[in-house]
Amino acid sequence: MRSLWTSASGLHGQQARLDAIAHNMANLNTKGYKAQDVQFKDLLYVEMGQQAAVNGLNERNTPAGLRIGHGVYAANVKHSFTPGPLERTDLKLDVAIQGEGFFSVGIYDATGRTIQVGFTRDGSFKVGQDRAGNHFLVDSGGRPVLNRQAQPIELTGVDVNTVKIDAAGTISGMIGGEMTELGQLEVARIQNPEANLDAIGENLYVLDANAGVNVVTAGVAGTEGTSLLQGSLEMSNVDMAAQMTDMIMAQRAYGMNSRAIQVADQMMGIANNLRNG
Amino acid sequence: MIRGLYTATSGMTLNERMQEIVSNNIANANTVGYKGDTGVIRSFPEELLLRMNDNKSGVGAEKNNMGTIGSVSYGALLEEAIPRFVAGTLKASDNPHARAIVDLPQAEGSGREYARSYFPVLVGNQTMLTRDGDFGVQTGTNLLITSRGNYVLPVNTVTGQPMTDARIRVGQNGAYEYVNAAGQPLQPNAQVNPAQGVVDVADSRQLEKYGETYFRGGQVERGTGQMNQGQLEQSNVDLSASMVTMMNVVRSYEANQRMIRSLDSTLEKAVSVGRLG
Repeated sequence: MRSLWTSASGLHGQQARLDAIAHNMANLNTKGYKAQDVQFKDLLYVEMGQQAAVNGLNERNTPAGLRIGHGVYAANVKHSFTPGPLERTDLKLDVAIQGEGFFSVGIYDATGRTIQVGFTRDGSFKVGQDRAGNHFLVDSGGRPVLNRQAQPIELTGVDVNTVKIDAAGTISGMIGGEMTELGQLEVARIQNPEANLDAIGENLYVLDANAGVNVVTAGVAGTEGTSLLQGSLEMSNVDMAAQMTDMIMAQRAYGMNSRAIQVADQMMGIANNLRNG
Repeated sequence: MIRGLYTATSGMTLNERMQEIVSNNIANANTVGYKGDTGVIRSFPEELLLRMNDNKSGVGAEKNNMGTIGSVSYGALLEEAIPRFVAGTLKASDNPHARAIVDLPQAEGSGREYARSYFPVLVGNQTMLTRDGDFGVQTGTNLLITSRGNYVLPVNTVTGQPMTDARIRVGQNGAYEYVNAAGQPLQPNAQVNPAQGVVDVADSRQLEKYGETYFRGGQVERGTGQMNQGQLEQSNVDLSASMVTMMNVVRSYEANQRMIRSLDSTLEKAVSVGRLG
């Protein structure tokens, strides 16, 4: 009874979809979160031999043979990099990217060495402190935000309430009563982010190992199509209503697959009762 | 009477096949670009029953020295699974590369009732066709691919045929460039003018399902369908109709089983006729 496995693949596929939807819903209020979706494909078809046409009964509509599919599988999980809505927070260290681009943060290992550059759309920055007592601009996970020279941005002695970030990402703040330029935020534009970035959690993306050499364009803040906005944050791009309808669809399809299993089971029961006693 | 056993068995077998088709449809209720299958049942060829050495009655009896009883058929089989080529509903997608095909309406009786448009894709070295326009970008090369990872082929606007030696590359600004298999830009000229497009198949019923929502075979000609950007064609499976078919299948299966059981008990009587004691 092949149909049992076919329906089981359907259950499995819809379960994967429900998982993705649940993950999106859980991140409805995560700053800079990008929604994901599961893409389905049908499984290979088996072609069954059919006896040759007898007595000229050859009025078929399709080519010879009977092709029956084996169900469905989740082919791909895709991230949607459409921008989320901006929310005004009026915090001095909150920055939103209007248009394309990602902030760069340094991902450190246990010894404090930068091992990788992470990309994020989450601009809810904070002031962090290293072991020597110096202050730096960090992201919500405590990783240093990088400047154009790929170095952390030092905020030691800066009065945070006076920090200004312009559209090109230049940060300035009062040090001892004097307005000082502290560096420029690095914003990189990544070609086809859905293909070239891998999500690693905590709102972070890293460049895929197979990504081409020239997919990253550094320093795009303030250029056409990308500008920064201080005092705002980009919210999650999850559309609650769309997720709810998708969930209903997935749930109904799940129910139908389980009904198909019941029917297949019932048929096997009938076959089992072909002879009683 | 023994014949009746085989007739009822053929009924059970065909209902199992039908159940496999329906459960495959249900499993693919959320597969983009999937076309549901309809099972077509055909009865075994009619056979003429004759009475030997009896020319007293029946049509044509004098001629053959045989009396005609009548024609009888010994069962049924699932002859073919025809995909329904009705368009699925279109749903908005935030994938920037999503495309849905809207077919050119074909007049009844024009001989092109089953003419549909498809995207050409390269699978191995074979050109296949699909209605699933949920495209993405290949990591590294930035070539346009399906969610299964096969290249989407451009269509030569001069000849109307898919170009198997060309690829579509997604540029930094999202625009499409046409390159050859080695990644060198194609120079459009009088013979070559690539564009992302669709091709037509005059009779879609001649296509064979391959799986992965790909079709193969069929003569391709210049495309007439229209592409809608930012939309996806959903599966055209009708869940309520599938439910009804399943109920039908299980009852018909049961009825065939009852036939076998009643024939079996009749045979048992025949066996006991000759029993001694």
